[in-house]
Formats: sequence, structure tokens, C-alpha cells
Amino acid sequence: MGRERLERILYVEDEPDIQAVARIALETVGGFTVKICSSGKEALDSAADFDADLILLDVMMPGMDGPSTLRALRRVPQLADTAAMFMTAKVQPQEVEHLISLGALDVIAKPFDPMTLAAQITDTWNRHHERQ
Amino acid sequence: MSASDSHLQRKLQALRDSYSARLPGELEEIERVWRVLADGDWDPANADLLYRLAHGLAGAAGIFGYPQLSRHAVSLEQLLHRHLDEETAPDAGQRAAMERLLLQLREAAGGADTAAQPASGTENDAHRPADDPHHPLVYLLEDDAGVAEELALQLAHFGYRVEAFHDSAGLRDAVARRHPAAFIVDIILPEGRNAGLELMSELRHREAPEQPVIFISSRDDFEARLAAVRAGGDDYFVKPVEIAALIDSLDRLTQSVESEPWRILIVDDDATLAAQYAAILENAGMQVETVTRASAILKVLSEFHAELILMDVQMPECSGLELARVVRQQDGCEGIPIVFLSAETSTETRRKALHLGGDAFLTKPIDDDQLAAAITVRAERARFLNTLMLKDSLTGLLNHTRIKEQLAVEVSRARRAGGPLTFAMIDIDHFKNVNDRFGHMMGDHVIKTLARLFQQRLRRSDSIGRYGGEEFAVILPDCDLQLAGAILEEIRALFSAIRFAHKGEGFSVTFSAGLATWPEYDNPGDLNRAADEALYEAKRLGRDRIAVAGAQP
Repeated sequence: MGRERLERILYVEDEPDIQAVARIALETVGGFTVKICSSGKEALDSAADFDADLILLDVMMPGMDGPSTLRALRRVPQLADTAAMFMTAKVQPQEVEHLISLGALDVIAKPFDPMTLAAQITDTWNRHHERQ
Repeated sequence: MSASDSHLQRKLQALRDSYSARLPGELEEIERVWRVLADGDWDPANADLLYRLAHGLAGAAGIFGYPQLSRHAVSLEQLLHRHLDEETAPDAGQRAAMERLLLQLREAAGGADTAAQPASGTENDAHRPADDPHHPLVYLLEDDAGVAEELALQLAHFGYRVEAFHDSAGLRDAVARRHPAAFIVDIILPEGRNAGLELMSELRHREAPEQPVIFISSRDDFEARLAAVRAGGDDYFVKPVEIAALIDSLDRLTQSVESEPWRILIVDDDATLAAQYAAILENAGMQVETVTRASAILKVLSEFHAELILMDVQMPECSGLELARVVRQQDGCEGIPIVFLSAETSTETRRKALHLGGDAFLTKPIDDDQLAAAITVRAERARFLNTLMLKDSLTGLLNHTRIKEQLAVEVSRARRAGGPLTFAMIDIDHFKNVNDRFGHMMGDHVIKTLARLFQQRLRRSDSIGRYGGEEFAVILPDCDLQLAGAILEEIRALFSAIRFAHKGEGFSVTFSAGLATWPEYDNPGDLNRAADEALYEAKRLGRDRIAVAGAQP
């Protein structure tokens, strides 16, 4: 299952503004290779070829939302066990719990700080891999 | 700060600047949608749009250095979400709270004109009926005032709110203000023999309303029916309009009686393709399972009660045609529709596939809408055929055997969950008189009307059955006596207010009901007996009432 080190992130987010900041936060600050998809459908189209270590999903998107995108991606064999994280502005404990129960490592609160987003994701990733 | 850090900061700053420049435009758009919402009735589509705009603002504003703005946007988003979730319109106080949040958004964005207080929309809102998704709005265009009044009255009994117009101009104005859930339009108006058709094609082109249109007319010729289809008509009724059929059509077109999602099984060895088809169908509201190995299909079929199988023709283990035969020889799967999906275009393979019991052959590549539509049509037909076997043919409710089975299922569920459960037996009063005086056709009509009322008024988790003759049974899970009594009382009052008409003679019909609850009555047999005795008690006390098992008379 995946690499030890987090390198490739498949990021699904419909808002162009947030895409732009996240690209800087993840590529420039974090040094990751990032594939950004604007919809669940686009993610499905490119998922098999991208070989992601981590799937990062916005929860609320028009059409297919984050949870149903993750569910669909899980059916692609290469992504059946790939680590996933959600991003959302809703951070009530029961919602976080629900999202984690869908098979996500963590839920990242929006708005995020572009300077520390990568570190936050790396932390969660490392914590998860130490436990394994 | 290192050189690369400062480079980064500059890049981020550039993004922030560009966002700040666009922010006034975004706020304007939010204002605009809010105005439309607040000034009209609470249109759920606009509420959803506003919710998404607030959501976008909440995320982006926080990142781009407007934390206060983001917080207000989150509050607005949460308020809207609650109403969307509960399908309710906010009352005057809640609207005022949203209005305040909008003002705070403007202030937080820095460009707020705090002197200009928004005109209070709350006074206007007070005497405006809130939009209620359980009472869909129907625009009726009918020049005959008597017919219009009668239709409006009848539709109201089934939960529709009707606004009637007697000429094109009236309807045109109303559409400009607000779109209804459906249109019912008379084709022949004083303006012309096809005036209704012409008006609706014009509206469809100009305003592009997607709401369903039902045409009514005294014309029954092919030409009129074809013209109605061309004008975008979803259904057509010849006058005098049979109300039950019209309600059926409205229910279906406005989906005010919700149906279960279609259950589809996808069989394709290419997992990516299977996932993609699954996503398309799920997006169209279906429930989907996928199988990538042919050998796994029997196990999945036994657990997931698929209503239709979408199957690839070429698979490594066996061909789709062989697999179709295996499925067909499985108990209970003889009738399940199988739709083949293949890049194969040879007529021979297609012919063979259809010969082996495939219901259709779709050719890859296929676009999303086409796939969803092809599956929907066939799943719909399959469920309809299934319904014929399990359901009462007159009413579409569960038949006697099925409702008794369902009672056993629900009682064991209540035992596990510890929740209350109410079982109700209902019997139409003096039904024999209806049949004797007005004939069996009218009797059937009365039964169908009551069945429809139950379907509209009860929840999806409730089970409704026709026990036989004029007798019905209803299972209400998670419902205590008090709540069940209130629900049935509402239905009783509605039913008794319906005016049936036969050859100019009007009459109304009532029903009596007996209720019993679990755990007071511990098993299905006792519940059944107790509810039946209560029903007898209701009859004895004078009918048109609801009695409760075990209550002191």
C-alpha cells in the first residue's frame, strides 16, 4: 500500500480560488506532485493513471460531493486502499466522525493556512504510517 | 524570511489581491440571489444557489485574509443548510437573521454602506404563505371558471396549491414572477383553438421553465395530441378530466410521492469503467453495486436485490451471454432485465444477446445522459411488472399477504430497536351504498382516491396495504398512538372533505379506523386483532372516527 513518503496528491476541489491557493500550498510550499480535479467525475477519469499516495477531497461540491467521489474512487482497484483526507468548513465533531467513518485519515478544516497546510497533511500522514 | 519565502508570499499576495478585486462582484451576486429569494416565495433552487455561494465565500474569504467575512458566511451557510435539509422556508425572524448576516458580510468586506439599512423584508413576508414542498404550486390556465374552480378544489385535497388563470396574460405575468411545480393548461382558449399550446411553447423558449406541463382539452384528435407533445406537454387529458388520473400524473411528474431509487448491478471486468458507470448512475439517483469478476455475481445477487443488471459482453472468465444464462437460471432472477453494454457492433452478437434474454444492447462509448436514461426506462418497466405481482392491482398498495408479512417484519424491527409502532385498520363507511347508488366504477374511484391520499400523507417508511374490499391496513413504525392518531385524523378530515361527483350528483365518503400499538400488543396477531376490534368500536360509535385499542369508551 502506497509509498512510505507522501509524494503524489490527487486533489478534488471545485472552487478555482481555493485550487489556486492549494496548488501553491501543496506544490510550492509542500513540494508534492499535485493533480487537481475540479469534479468527482474528472477525478475518476484521471485517478487510475495518476498513482496517488493521497486523495484529498473537498466535501461539498456540486454534483458528486466528496463522500460519493471517494466511494466511486474506491471502486478503482489502484485506489481501493489509497489514503484519503477530506477538507471542509464544517467541523462539528459528529460530521468529522462521519467523514472519518467513510475511510478518511483526517478532516482538514477550511479555511486552511496556505503556509502550514502541507505540514498538517504530512503530520497526519506520518502519524498514520507510524501506527501501521 | 528567506528569498524563496518572500517569493511565495508575493505569489500568495497576488492571489489575495485578485480575490479582493473580485470580492465586491461576489457579494453583489449573493445580494442579488438573496433579493430574489426574499422578495419571492422561498424557492428551494435559489436557496440552494445562495447556500453554495455562501459556502464558496466561507472557504475562500478565510484563506484570503477575511476571517470575519468567512465566519459570517459560515453562519449564513449553516442557517440556509438547515432549511434546505428540513425543506422548510424560514419564518420572518429567521429571514431577519439572514438579512443581518448579509449586512455583516458587506461590512466585513470593507465596502459596506452601513448607512443604507436594508428595507425590512420581514413585514412583507409575514402575510405571504411560506413555500412548502409538501404542497406543490400548480398554475392552472382554464377559461371556464366553473371547471377551474372544481379542478382547484379537487387538487387541493391532494395537497396541491392551485393558482388559476383564465387567460394567457395572467399566466404569463405569474410565470415572470415565479415558476410553479407544474402547469395544467387548457389548449382551447378564447384567444384561439391552439392558444394554450402556443403560449406554452413560447414560455418554454423564452423563460425555459423545465416544470412539467399537462394539457387538458375537449379535443381528442391525433393532431391535437401531437401538437401537445411538440409544445412540450408531459401528459394529456381529455375533458371531463378524470381527477384520480390527473393526480397520478401530477404526483409522478412533480415527484410528490417519492419513489425508492432503482437498484442496479453493474458487471464489468474493467473496474475503472465499472466505477465510472456506477458514478453516472448514482448521480442520476440510483443505488449501484459493481461486480468485476463474473464468478462473484451469484453471491452479490443474493444480497443486493438488483432490479436491473448492466453487463459487459466481453469478459475474461466467461462471455456476458453465458453469464446472462447463468443469472436467468437462478431462482428469483428469471425476470430481471439484463442490459448489455459493449463496443461490439456485429448484428450477429447483438441478435444472440437479445435472443438469450438480454433486454437491450447499448453500444460503447455511450454518453452519461443516454446511459442514465436507457437504464431508467428499463428499471421503471421492471419495477412496474414486479408491482403487478406484489401489489394490489387497483391501488398499487401492498396486497393482503404482503402487508401481513410486512407487519411481522416491522414488529421484529420494533423489538430490536425498542421503538413504538402503530398498526391501523381502516374501513370505508357505508361503502356498499356507494357501489349500489353510483356503480362499481365509482366505488373503485373512491378506493383509489383514499389509497392515493395515504400515499401522499404517510412517510416512506410507513407501509400501506389494501386488506381487501374497502378495507386498508397501515403500519407506522416509530410512531406512538398520539402521533399516529393525529396523522390519521388529518387524513380522515381530508378524505371526508373530498366531493365526489357522479352524473351531476355530488357526494362525500368517510372512513373509520382502529389503532393498536406495539408493545401494548406484543405480536402481529394480537396487533391485528386489537386494531380490528378498535375499528369495530369506531363503527359502533357512529363511524367517521378513529378509535384506539384498549381505550376506555
